[in-house]
Amino acid sequence: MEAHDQILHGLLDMGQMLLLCGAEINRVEDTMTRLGRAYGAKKVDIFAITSDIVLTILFEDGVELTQTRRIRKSSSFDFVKLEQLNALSRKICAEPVSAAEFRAELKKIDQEKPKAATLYLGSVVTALSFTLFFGGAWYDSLLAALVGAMICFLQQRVQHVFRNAAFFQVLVGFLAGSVIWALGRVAPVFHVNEISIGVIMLVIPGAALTNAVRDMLVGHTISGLLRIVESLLLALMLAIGFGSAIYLFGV
Amino acid sequence: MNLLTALFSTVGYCLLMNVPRNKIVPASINGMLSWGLYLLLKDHIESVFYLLVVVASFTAAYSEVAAKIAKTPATVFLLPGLIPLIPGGFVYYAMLGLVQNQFDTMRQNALLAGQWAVGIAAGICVVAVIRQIIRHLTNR
Repeated sequence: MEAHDQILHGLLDMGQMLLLCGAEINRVEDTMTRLGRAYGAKKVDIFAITSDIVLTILFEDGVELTQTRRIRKSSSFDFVKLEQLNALSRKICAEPVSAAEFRAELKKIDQEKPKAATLYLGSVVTALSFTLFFGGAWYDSLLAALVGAMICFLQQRVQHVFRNAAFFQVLVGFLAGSVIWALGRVAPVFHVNEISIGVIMLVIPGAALTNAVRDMLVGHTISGLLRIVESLLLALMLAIGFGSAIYLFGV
Repeated sequence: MNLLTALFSTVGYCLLMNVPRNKIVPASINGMLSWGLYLLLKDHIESVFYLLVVVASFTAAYSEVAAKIAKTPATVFLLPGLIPLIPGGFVYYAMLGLVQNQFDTMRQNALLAGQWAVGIAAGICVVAVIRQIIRHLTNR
């Protein structure tokens, strides 16, 4: 009986971690179903949306259990973790280990965080190249890189203060917009539009939107809608922050 | 030059998404190819919508194949590959139009951004359907 409990718990941990590192709903449900079967379930019923997972398993000995998991964090992308989880799931489906061991492995994967240096480098490179991509000059791209680093700093150090991702997005948009447009006013050589686009590409939830559309296309309409609305809301908040900065400092 | 910046933009995004080291290169090449294909076909396909359908379905197909080879989820290649296609410029100018009371600019750019997004989505859908059919056939 207790073992059954542990299995459900492990599966929910797996589902939650998958969701939070940027997997599609389809993958979450598929992986959990396969794992459930591997642990001797006769029937696995899962309903997952971005903020909640409901799991019911009917075991072969006739025991039927349900657990739910509320997910409060919003997801971000961590493909190293996604790949590790995927590999773990394949391994366990091939030959199941004990539920306790499974949960220990999950915990180990969960503790690894992407290195801050990688994220800073990523922000700088992205902002820099996108500014060039959209037609900015080389000095524009340097300013964009600087603002990119600032945004990364905010995401690393300040984001946890805000419980609501939307408000944080307003702040990011406003600060980034202020730096760019105030500097652009002082030094008109800067092409403010190109720099702004380069920086916005960094924080625009385009990848999340893509995932949302994929969810919807394979039949997970509710989850897809949730993610689409969430992404559009974040984009809107970004626009409010950025727009206010432009209104304040714009020529 | 444009291709090179597209490549490095994708590299940057790969770092942000913490793409595993050994997959950064194939994922970034996907981004460069998607933008290259866009530039190549831009003058030949008149409808921007169908142009994006073609480009996005190529990107999604590349991701599926690469994922099969590398035994990893296709997302790892797909999301970085689509990054250069994200219509950030239109979104920005739409917002600028909103702030500066230029509603024609706003409407036009917002609609363009929507057109791009739907086109990309449709492209992904094409590949998703094909994949389902293949899976159905091979499972028998």
